[in-house]
This record gives sequence, structure tokens and C-alpha cells, in this order.
Amino acid sequence: MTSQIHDLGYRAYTGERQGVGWAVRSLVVHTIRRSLGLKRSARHKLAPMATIAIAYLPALFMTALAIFLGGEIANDLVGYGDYFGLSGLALFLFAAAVSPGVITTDRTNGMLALYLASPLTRTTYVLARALGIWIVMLIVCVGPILFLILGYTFAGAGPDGVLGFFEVIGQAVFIGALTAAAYTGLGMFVSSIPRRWAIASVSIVAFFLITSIVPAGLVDGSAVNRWILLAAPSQVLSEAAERVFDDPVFDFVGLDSLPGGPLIAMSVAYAIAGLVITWWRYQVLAVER
Amino acid sequence: MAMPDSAARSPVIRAGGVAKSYGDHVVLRDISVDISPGLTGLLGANGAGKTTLLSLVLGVDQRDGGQLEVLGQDPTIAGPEIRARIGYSPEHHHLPADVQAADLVRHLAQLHGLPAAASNERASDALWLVGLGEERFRPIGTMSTGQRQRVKLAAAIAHDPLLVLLDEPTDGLDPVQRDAMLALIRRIGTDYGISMVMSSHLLEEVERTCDHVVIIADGSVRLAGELAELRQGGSGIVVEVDERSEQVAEALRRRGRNVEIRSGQLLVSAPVEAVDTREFDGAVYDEIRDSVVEAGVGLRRLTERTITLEDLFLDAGAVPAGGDS
Repeated sequence: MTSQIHDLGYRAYTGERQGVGWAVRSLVVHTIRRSLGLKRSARHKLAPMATIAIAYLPALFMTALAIFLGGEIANDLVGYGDYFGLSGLALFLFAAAVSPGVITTDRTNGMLALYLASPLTRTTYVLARALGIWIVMLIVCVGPILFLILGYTFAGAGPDGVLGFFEVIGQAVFIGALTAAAYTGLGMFVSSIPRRWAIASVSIVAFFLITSIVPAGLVDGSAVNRWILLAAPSQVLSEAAERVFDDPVFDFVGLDSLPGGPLIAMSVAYAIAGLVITWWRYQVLAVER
Repeated sequence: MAMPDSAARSPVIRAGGVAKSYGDHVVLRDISVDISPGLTGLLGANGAGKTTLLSLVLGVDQRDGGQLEVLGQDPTIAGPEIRARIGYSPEHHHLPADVQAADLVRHLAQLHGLPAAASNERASDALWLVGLGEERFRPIGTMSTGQRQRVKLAAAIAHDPLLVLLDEPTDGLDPVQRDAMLALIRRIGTDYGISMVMSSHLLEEVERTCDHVVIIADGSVRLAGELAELRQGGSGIVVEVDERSEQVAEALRRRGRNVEIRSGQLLVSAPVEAVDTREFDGAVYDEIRDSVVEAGVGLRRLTERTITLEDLFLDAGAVPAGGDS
């Protein structure tokens, strides 16, 4: 058979064209890939994969304990509600690795100008990025707790009955999705301010650390109203998880003295506020062209 | 996409009294122009408002006043639909360093509505077209400025747009790269029938590449039209004498000629009522001769005037790059 070279050259495109929904979907997929370092060099995979490992490690460890030691330590196993407090560090480290990698870098590497020259608007851009980051955050907010539930169930230390099992799964998905949304909103908000990726990452870690320490410090031993503890996002989120699973433990910060409703409401507010402030910032942002 | 004849002839951009300010700073006062299909140069000194106009055309920024139609629609209302059929290459050279050229072009083609398989195929085609076929899997961070400019051009055309906006596409290129880029732009515009608006502050680039020109100065359109026609409109005869040029001009005016003195040279233009301004009656040369003799001066130069884009630019009251601002 004789080979032939066909130079087709540049041709007009006559196929179907998708709408704005397709553009949003494409950016969501791009956000997930970029955040996890897929199709990028190994160094870009390091931070997300390391924090994912940190988030899953306690679940793996507790499941192993449950399987190998069984009933002997059933009462000493970490509860579902406690898990969010246990993996809190991994959650905000992951948020610090993910959000700046797309939000901050889009502004500095010129991609924002190109995105806004596509069918995306400033609003659909923010929403698509938020949806992508939220899906990635689910990996560490929902994945480990589901792993723990399945592990405990396998070891015979899980929820009672089929109904109980699905109830706990539902609770895990709810609070995991809410936690992911709050970390997404707040992470995007902090990432939308600095121009450098590294500064944004450090700022996110600092934001969660400072807001964890300062309100507790103000309340401790003083007459400051305990409701100020709601200004500690990571503490509020882990406390809200304990309330959802009806699994409260002693909380040295003092959030256990607050009712569950405001804790859930505040978690929702963190997610919405972060997203709305980011959206507003992008409405007025001057884009480099 | 095939367009009906009427659509193919109608302006790709139609602006009437478009204004835009940022705070107290007025960038565009009154942009009124129709830009026809083809290659159009958007000329203006740095800061003239070219990039702002492109932002309004894209519907990314909102105009403060006036009417604007792009591909027959108002970008304020139908921004996403219009942008789906526009390609855009920004002025800046920043692109994600760790991303392969093919991935970037494919991603942007997808955002403009092309399905995944078509995006892959067309990203590859576009990169071959701009001369980066062999380099398409290289990370952009390892590419030269010239190659990055080509990646931006490939990204702007991969989704087969009806209109491409190029903001200073030769910025940062050396003379050889600049020549190659201009030839490429010209080829894409002519061979593939994609309308292009190329913003530049370099007269020579627009002169070499474009068929139409829009000159912006001080936030308004000073001159717009087909380059060939604009050049015809200003033809005439250049006369240079060794002294007393004002006296020669006066003698010519007495003989009914339009004369202007510019940089010491006499520009004898055709009568306003002339049907074809390129043609002078043969008597003008006799009259110039007689006027020079009458003034008793020496004739240094007598030649037909060729209008350059620079002349048009200066006539329009704009300031060329490198000139006083």
C-alpha cells in the first residue's frame, strides 16, 4: 500500500457549537484537573495529593484499628462528628493548595482576560471556578468520612441497621458538602485578593489559624460574648459536624455551649459570603488585557 | 459558518457615539465608525483607547453611552453569543507557563463552544497554521515571545471565528518575527476570509497588513475608511524650492491652485471640484514652472505626492508612535 500525505490545512468549522453551559462545564472540568495537578508535572501533583493523604490517613488508621482490634476498642473509636475536627488541618491545607492555584493564577497568568473574551461572563466564570473547587474539596470533605463509615461498618462497628446506615451516610454527605462549600467560598475570597499564588496560599492558612485562635482567646476568661466564637470558621464547621451526627464532645474553645442551629446557619453563611464577596470583587476587577 | 451575502457585506462592527470613562478619566468620547469585513487596522498612539474599544466590542466592559453593534448584535445584551464567534488575542504575553500550547488552544476552543473532539483537531490545525505544529506539545513557558504570540493567534482562530481582534500582535517581536507575524495575519485574513481588527500604534504595520484603517485620537475616530481610497484622496504634487516658498505658493494661488506649505514643501492639491483627484490638468506643471520663475527661486524637487499612512495619521491630528504626545 502506498502512503499519501494529505495536507488538509486550516478549514472552516461547520459542526455543532455548544452554548454557555458547555463553556461552564469545560471550565469546571479544567478546574478539577488543574487543582489536582492532572496533565501537569509531578511537582504540581505533590501538594494536593499530600493533603488528600493527610485527610484520609486518620480514617485509614481508625478503620484499621476497628478491623484488627474489633469490639475491644469500639467505644474508643473516633466518632463521625469528631472526624471533621481531626482532619481540620488537612481541610484548610487543601483549600490553601487548591483555590489559589486557579483563582490567583488566572489573574497573573493572563488567563482571566482570555476567559472573559469567551462566552463566559464574570459571573459564570466565578460560578464555574467555584463549582470546580467545591467538587475537588468534596474529595477531602466527604470522601474520608464515607471511608470511615464504610470501614466501621465492615468492622462491625458501624451504624445500626440499614436505615441507620443510610441516615449516617446522608448526614455525612450533607455536612461534608456544606464544609466543602464553606472552604470553597472562603478560600476563593482570600485567593481573590493577592496577586501571587504563594501569598494567597499562606494567607488562607493564616486566615483559618487566626480566626481559630483570636475569637477563642477573646472569650477565654473575659466578659466578651461567646457568640463571637461564630467568627471562627474552621471551629464552627467541625462543631456543626458534631451536631449533625449528634455526637458532641467537649470543646475547649467553648462552641459546645452554642445551639446547633446557629452553627449550621453560620456554616451556610460562610459559604455564601465567601462566594458573594468573590463574585462582587470580580465584577469590579480591572482585567489586564 | 456560511453567511448570507447581505450579512457578509454588512459591517462587522458598527459604532455610533460610543463613550467610555473610568472615573473622571474619559477614554472614549465619541467613537462613530463602521468597520467592514476584511482586515482593519485600529491605529492610535499609546493610550488612545484602542484596547478599551476592543473591550467594549467584546462586551467585557460596559459603554457609558452610544450604540454599538458587533456581528449585528449589541455586545452589552448578547455578549456570550458574540464572544462565541470572536477570537481575541490580548496585548500581554502572560500565558500559563506549565501548560502545553495544544492544551491551551484546545481548552479555549472548547470554551468557545466546540465539542471536545473538534477542539482537539482544530487546536492542532491552528497550531500547524501558525507554524507551531512541531512545537505544539511544548510547555508555553519554554517558548519565545514570538512563539507565544503565535500561540495566542492560534487560540484566537481555532474555533473558526467570524471576527478576530488582535491587540498589538507584534509587541515584543524582533523585526524578523514581526515580518513573519504580519505575513501570517495577512494570510489568515485573506486566505481564510476571517475578518480581523488589528490594534497597533505602528503605522507601518497597519499599512503593510490591512485594507482598512480606523485612526483614533483623543477618544474619537479621526479618520476611517479603505486605505487605498484614503490615499487617493490626498494626492497631489510636491514642490520644493530653495527659498521663498511662500512667494511661490502665493503665485500658484493667484493661478487658482490649492497650495499648502508643510515642512518647507509646497503641496499642490487637486481642485476640490475635480472628479478624479488623482488627475491634474497638464497645465499645473506649466503654472508651477511659471510661479517658480516669477519668484526667481531655484526648483529643487517636483514630484507626485504619495500619501502614506503617516500623512493620514498626521492629517487626522493623531500623534504617531515616537512622536510628541
